[in-house]
Amino acid sequence: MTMTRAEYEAQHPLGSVNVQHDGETRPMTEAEWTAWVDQAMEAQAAEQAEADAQAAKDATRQSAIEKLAALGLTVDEIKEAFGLEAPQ
Amino acid sequence: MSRLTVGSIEGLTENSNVISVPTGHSLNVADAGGLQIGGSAVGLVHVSRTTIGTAVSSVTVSNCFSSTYDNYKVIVAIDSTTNNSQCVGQLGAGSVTTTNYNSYLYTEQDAWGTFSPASVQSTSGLILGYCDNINVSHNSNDIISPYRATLTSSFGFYTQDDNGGFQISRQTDTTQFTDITIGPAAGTMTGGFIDVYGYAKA
Repeated sequence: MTMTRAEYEAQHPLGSVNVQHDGETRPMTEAEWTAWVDQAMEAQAAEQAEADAQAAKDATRQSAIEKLAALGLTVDEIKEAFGLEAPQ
Repeated sequence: MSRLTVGSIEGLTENSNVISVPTGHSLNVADAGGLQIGGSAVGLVHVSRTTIGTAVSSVTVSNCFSSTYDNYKVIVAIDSTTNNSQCVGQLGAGSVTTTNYNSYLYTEQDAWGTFSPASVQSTSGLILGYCDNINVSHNSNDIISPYRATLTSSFGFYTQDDNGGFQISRQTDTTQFTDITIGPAAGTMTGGFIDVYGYAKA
């Protein structure tokens, strides 16, 4: 689930997040926390872009399957005719 | 290291050049590098265990890579995390390196029992696995040549409450890395451990 920056900051307010170096744990400084939120937002955006790209590929594949069906063909028939292994 | 003979250790017996530990006794090698063949340590040698604290964004395991071993196994068991996100490992040598990674993770994505393949990538760290937003996340990765002055590779597998998969990564600097900083790309983690093992060179 994609979170806005405000939602993320509300979930992890400054003072609630720690960093650990070997056995020692301490609260993040404000500068560290700001950079950490930036990084999380970037990671989330990249992952959402990946998911959107995959959804677009799935939609294209589904559209092609529906066009084949309209012609009276199935994916299995196409695979058999051309010796292809279509992605599942 | 002092030399012991079979007769000097209670319980050990020798027959036809085979040394046996009788039932009810155990052989305890206290030094992780103490079990050797031909003068070299054998198998996986435990380097460190770091217990994961409470609400931590990351854990740095320092000085876990050295010239002693070329290759390592890193096992991460996280008891709980707050967000769905990649589990990332950033190499370091005093300070954390956040660039020059090419990392990919492939997963069955949805809840166990539903197959819906997906992938994620990162350029800011080795992907070690994927974290669930509540429950346990486990991953195991081999890390190749972190301390050698060449690129570093890693590959491994993960499972968590919702899904599982595998991941491959590399870091292209020639830095001799000594540390690894592990944590979720978003949110915090609480509880569990990070174990680092070295593959004996012999």
